[in-house]
Amino acid sequence: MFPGSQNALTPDNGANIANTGFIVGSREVLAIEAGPTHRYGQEMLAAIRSVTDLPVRYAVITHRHPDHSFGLGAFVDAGVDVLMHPAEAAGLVREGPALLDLMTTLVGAEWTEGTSIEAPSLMVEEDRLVDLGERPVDILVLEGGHTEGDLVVHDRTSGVTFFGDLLFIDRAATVPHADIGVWLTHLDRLETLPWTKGVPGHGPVLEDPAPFADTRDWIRFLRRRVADAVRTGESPAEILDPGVPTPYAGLVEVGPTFSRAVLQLYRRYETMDPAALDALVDQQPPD
Amino acid sequence: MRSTMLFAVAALLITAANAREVDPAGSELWEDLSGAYLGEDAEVTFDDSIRLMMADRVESAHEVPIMVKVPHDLRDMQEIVLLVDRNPIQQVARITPHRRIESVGMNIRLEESTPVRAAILDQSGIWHVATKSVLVMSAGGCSSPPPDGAVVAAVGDVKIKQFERHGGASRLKVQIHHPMDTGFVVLEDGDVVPPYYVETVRIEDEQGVIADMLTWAAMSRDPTITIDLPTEGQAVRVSGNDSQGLSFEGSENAPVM
Repeated sequence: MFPGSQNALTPDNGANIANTGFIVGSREVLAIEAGPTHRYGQEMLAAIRSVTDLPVRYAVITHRHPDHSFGLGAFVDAGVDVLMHPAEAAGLVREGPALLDLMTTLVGAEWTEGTSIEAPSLMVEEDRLVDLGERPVDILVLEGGHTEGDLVVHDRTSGVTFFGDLLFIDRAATVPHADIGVWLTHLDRLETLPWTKGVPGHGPVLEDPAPFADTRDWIRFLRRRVADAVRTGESPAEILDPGVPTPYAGLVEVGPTFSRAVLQLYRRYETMDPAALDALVDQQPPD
Repeated sequence: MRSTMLFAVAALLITAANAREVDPAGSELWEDLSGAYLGEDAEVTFDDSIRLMMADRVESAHEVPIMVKVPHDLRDMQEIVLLVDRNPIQQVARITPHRRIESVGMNIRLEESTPVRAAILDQSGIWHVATKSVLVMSAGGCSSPPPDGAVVAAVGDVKIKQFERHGGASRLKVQIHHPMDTGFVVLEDGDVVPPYYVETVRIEDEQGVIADMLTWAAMSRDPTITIDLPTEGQAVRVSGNDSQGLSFEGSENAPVM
């Protein structure tokens, strides 16, 4: 696994903020994520080759967000089959170019040089099993939660599981494409998978599911806070002005994520009828 | 000796403050802004008791929600004016309330990092100004094309919603469907989108006019106006005109019995 930096996108980290990794079978290799830039993708391939001579056959991109997907050109160039959910692939192609411009502004052109938005070659619409040679690996499809189609990679041999951005640890989860209710049910399912070590999209590797609360509590809070504001006619200004509430104030990148999330969710919840809003506000943690 | 000097310095500061208060945001544009929109000889005081609520760091500069909470002693104001120092359109709105209002909110455009001002004219003719400095992360709220958004209603379509607050008080939320084009957006083919925006808004109910507003394109597309009243509005009606002479109006839906 290649850990990402727990920071904002900056010229220091070249947008390397997400965790990536790879799994080696007796015949071939599967990479998880492509990283944020062409340069990162190339470095990732080189790092894998320093460990094994076996060919990299697959790269699974868990979802469309730039810090996970924009390095895919390097894998395409190397003849690797790039796997993605079709809705996420379409979203990447549609939204990618504008986001690449934004990323270049944030981290500098020396990092993003050579990066281009390309379409993945293999669509994953339902759970599938790939065999890397005596190493069966599950690719699980979890739709409509964090994004339209998140992929989770579960190595049956070691029990190591890559959760993608369904899981943020120590960092504020982002919700531009999220349905928080569905996301919470996905988290319940992931918690019960037979995993030994869990790699979140952002943050340290997990040995047990207790830190799932970082993601769960935060997205529940966002949903309840914004739905209640829409229901009572509160302005987003009144949510944002006091800043991030104490329990969440320590999460990485929470300030900008909070502002963005409040405006994104507010716009979505504004179109909902009062009964649906009441349901969002009243849904409390089970215990 | 030392205390005498301190006293002298303090006295000097007080004299300076009486002449013209120092802008807490330290903006070199403030003097011109104040002169242009509050009056050349206006008496102006910076007033922390007015709460200007908004995020202090903004990414979506086309639509920045703000809310001004008016303190008790200013609720019988003559006028409230919203200004943005570093916008090509500095004046956002001028609101003349005809009854006591407790707060005013709207969504506005910010071109770049800037102080934002809410100026309230009290009954004695003094302007009380609240200031908040805002960091704009992606500039161009007035001069770049807006992010995509589904256009569903006709221009001038008005939506009115009323929310209960404590003790019989209410919040009135009015949304006017309108592009609010600033005249500063240049499209890829070089064409300039001409200015086109709501100019006047009147909000009234059975008891008479609640507020009259003059507005400019520094208000966001599909502007939302929020007004807090001490009592519930009765059969609220909104009317207005835009810069091409279109008149629009809308009424609150009759309450479901």
